Formats: sequence, structure tokens, C-alpha cells
Amino acid sequence: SLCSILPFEILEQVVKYSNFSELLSLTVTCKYMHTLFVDRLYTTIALHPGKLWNRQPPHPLEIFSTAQQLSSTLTHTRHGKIFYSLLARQQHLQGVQTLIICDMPPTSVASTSRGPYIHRIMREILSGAKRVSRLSFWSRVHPPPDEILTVDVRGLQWPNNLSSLYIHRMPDNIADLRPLLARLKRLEVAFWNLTALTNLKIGLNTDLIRHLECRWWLGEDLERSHVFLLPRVEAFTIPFSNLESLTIGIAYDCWLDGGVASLCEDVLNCYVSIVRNLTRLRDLHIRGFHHNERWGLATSRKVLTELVSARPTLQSITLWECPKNYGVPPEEKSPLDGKDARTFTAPWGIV
Amino acid sequence: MSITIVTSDNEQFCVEKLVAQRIALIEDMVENAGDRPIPLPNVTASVLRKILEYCEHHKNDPLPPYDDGSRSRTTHISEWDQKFITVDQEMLFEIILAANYLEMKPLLYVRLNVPRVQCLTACNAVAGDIGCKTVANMIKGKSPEEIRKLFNIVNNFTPEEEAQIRKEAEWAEDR
Repeated sequence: SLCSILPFEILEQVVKYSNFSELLSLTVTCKYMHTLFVDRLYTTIALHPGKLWNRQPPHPLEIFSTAQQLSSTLTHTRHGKIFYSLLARQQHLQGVQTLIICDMPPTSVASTSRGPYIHRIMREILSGAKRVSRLSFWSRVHPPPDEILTVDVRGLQWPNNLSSLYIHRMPDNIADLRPLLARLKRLEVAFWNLTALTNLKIGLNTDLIRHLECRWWLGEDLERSHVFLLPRVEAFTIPFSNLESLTIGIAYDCWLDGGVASLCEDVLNCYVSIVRNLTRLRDLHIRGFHHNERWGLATSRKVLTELVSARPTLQSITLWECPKNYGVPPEEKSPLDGKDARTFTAPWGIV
Repeated sequence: MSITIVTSDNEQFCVEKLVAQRIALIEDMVENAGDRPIPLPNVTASVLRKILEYCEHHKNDPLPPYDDGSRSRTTHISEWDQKFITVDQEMLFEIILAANYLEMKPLLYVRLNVPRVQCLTACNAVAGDIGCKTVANMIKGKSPEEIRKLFNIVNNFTPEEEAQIRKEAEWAEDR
């Protein structure tokens, strides 16, 4: 038969001349063919996301919009698991500049047999997508940080132009990321679990980085975190002397009145110390702005005043995840009520 | 100038050197063989006859451009090549295997004076690829069951396994 006569490299050549539906048919013919080509099938899907769309995207696909698109047009039951969790933003690999590799724990990566496929797909895409400048390892869901799976990047060859990285969780072992980290201009880390043992010397070039986003997760022991971990966040962030844009958030696994207490006085002081030293900083985003009187933090006005005083070069401050103040009289309601974020810009008279 | 090639079934072919040099394996062997016949223990006479027919027809062809992967892949086959490759399935597979064994691709490496890896890619467009394109064309538009029948492939999925694979891919099938 075809599979017993022709060696793999020739079958692979045949498949390169086949379109998606033929490749799909081949993978269903027998177990051998399925083993040989299922990862190529997924790669094809990753490289031809148009197949996942049944309507035109409502707006140009930015990173966040892509996520929205996936959420709004695809459903888990209809489209299987891994198919829609891989996405290259443009159809032709040569033209790909922004590559988003979505992952949906726990259905992929190390937790299932599909993990190796994903690794091979990434390797194949990255080896061909030479113009990729922005790479995103994006997760479709937001499980608790200790359940987030890290992406396997072993042996990947990073494209030369790659200078921007979004990663959902900073892996404990960053040896394979180091060559990439050293030449980044932009780094975004959605969850960085910080403990006393976390290695923060990850090889970033502090002179190169223009945008940094780190959302730190400090665990449950607030007292210990304030004493030992907030200084570590400061010490990590301050050396980025050319930073023009910073997004920062510090969160604890601590619940109070139904919300995560993540912007108490100590944390604000940490932010103020950081921005005071970043002399080129113009744009600041604070994630997890759940201010709460019981934690001693007054209002967004106080936050803004302290930050702007510490860093006069700031042109824009955005506070994310502002709370809804249920039961508060209308005249006392903050203008931030019910909004996910509010941006304040210089001049600061509007505060 | 010509050289002598001996096939696995002991048939001798006297081949013009220009034609034989389209086959990298033979070109490599010519230098060491001197005037002695070159043995090809993995190729039968009937298959070599076809391979030489191809080489004879394409002996003056310009070298294909380097394929960096950006060119769109087409399954188009020229009229002569189409006629040449219109053989039964057994012969088709034997031609593909022989082209692979004869390393017809590196032949261009020597002439192009480009890195071997580039040459391998470039030369894929030459001989073996016609066979691969033909197989790809045979698969075109066929269901898994038709492909099994065409190539005598035994379906060793359990019904549940096959159903699972189809389910995972159903979004693609219904378009």
C-alpha cells in the first residue's frame, strides 16, 4: 500500500502538494497516516486561520481583537479542542508578522498527548515565519495561576526580527527563552508567580526594553509579601532606564469583600518608587485597581496625585479593573464605577 | 562520451554522459568507476528506462530557481511529464523510489554552486516531485474510504477512534 511502500519523506512531499481537505482525508485513512500527518494537519490549521472563520472579522485583528474573534465565532463543542487554539494571524507564513499561539489549558500543551504536536507546530511555524516580530503565547482562559501551563519552547529557533513577546506565564526555567529575552524591546507577562526563590535575572537587556508589562502574583502571605517581595518587584523594574511604557499589577491570593485586595498602601508605595526612577516613562497602566477603604487606600485621585508627583514625565495613566461600588449614594460614586478601565491624561486637571 | 549502467536485473544501458549526469548518484560514481560499468542494484531495467527517458528529455532544461518556500506550491505537471508519468501505480511508486535512491536532486547542487540544503529544495521540483505531484493529484477530492481503496490501505481505526477524529475535524468538513 501507499504507506508501506513510500518512505516518510516522500509521503511528506506528497502532502505538501495536498490541500487541507485532502490532508484531512489522509489522516483518517489509517493509524500510520494519522500519526505521520496529524501535526501537519494542525499546522495547516494554524497557518490558515481563515478556515476557522465563517464571517469577516468585525474590525482589524489586533491581539486582543483576535482573542475576541476566537471567543465569538468558535465554540468548544463544535470545533474540537486544539483546532482553534492555534492561530497565525495571516494566511501566508512568509507574511506573518504577529504570531499568536493560543493555548487552552487543560486541553493542550503538556497535559495531553497533543503537547508534542504543538511543539512541532511552533517549531515549524517559527522556522518559516522569518518576519515575525511579535510573538504571543496567549491563553484563552484565566485559570488560577498555579494551574496555568507553561509553553514548551525547547529547541525553538527564534526569528531574527522577533522583538516583542507576550507570554501568559513566565516559566520557572527560562533557559530556552534566554536568547530571545536578551533582544526584546517589549515584554508582557500576564502572570509571574513571585516567591523568594524566583530567579529574576532572566537576561533581559534593560537598555533595549521600551515596554514592560508584568502582572505579579505574590501568593497568600501578605505580610511576608510586603516585606520581602515588593522590594524584589522594585529591584527588578527600576533598572529599565529607557522604559517608555509600563503596565504593572500586583495581586494576592487573598479575598476581601468579594474582591482581590491588590492595591493597598504598600503596593501603591511600591509603584511610586518604581515610576520615580523611570525617567523616560510616559505611559503607565495599573492592573488590579481594586481600591478598598479597609486597606487604607483612598481614591483614584490620591493614586494619580502620588504617581504624577513622583514622575512628572507621565502623560497617561490608566487604572484597570475599577470596582462597582454597590450601595454607594449616587453623589458619592466614583466616575470609575462600572468601567473596566479609565485613562487619565496630562494635563491632570480632570482628576 | 557515454557510460555503462547495470541494473539489478543485469541489463546494461549505454548512456550519454550528459544524460547520466542528471542523476547525482551516477555522477558521483562516474569519477571513481573509470571505464567500469556502474551498478545500480536497487533499480530494475524497466524503471531505469523510464528514468533515462526523463533525463534525456530534460537534459538541456535550465536549472529551476531556488525554492525558499515562498513560492506557491502547484500540482501542475507539464504535458510531456504528464504523459511520461501516466503509468500504473506500481510503476509510479517504483519511479518515485528510484528517483529518491538515485539522488537526482543533488545533481543541481554541483551545478548551481549553492549550499546543499538550498539545492535539495530547488531540485525537488525536478524529478521525484512529478511522482509526488501525481500521487497528490490522485488523492485530490477523494474521501478517506476512496483513498484506502485506491492505495490498498487497511483501515485499522476502531469505529470509535475514527468517529473521534472525524468529530474533531467536522468543522472543516462541513464547508
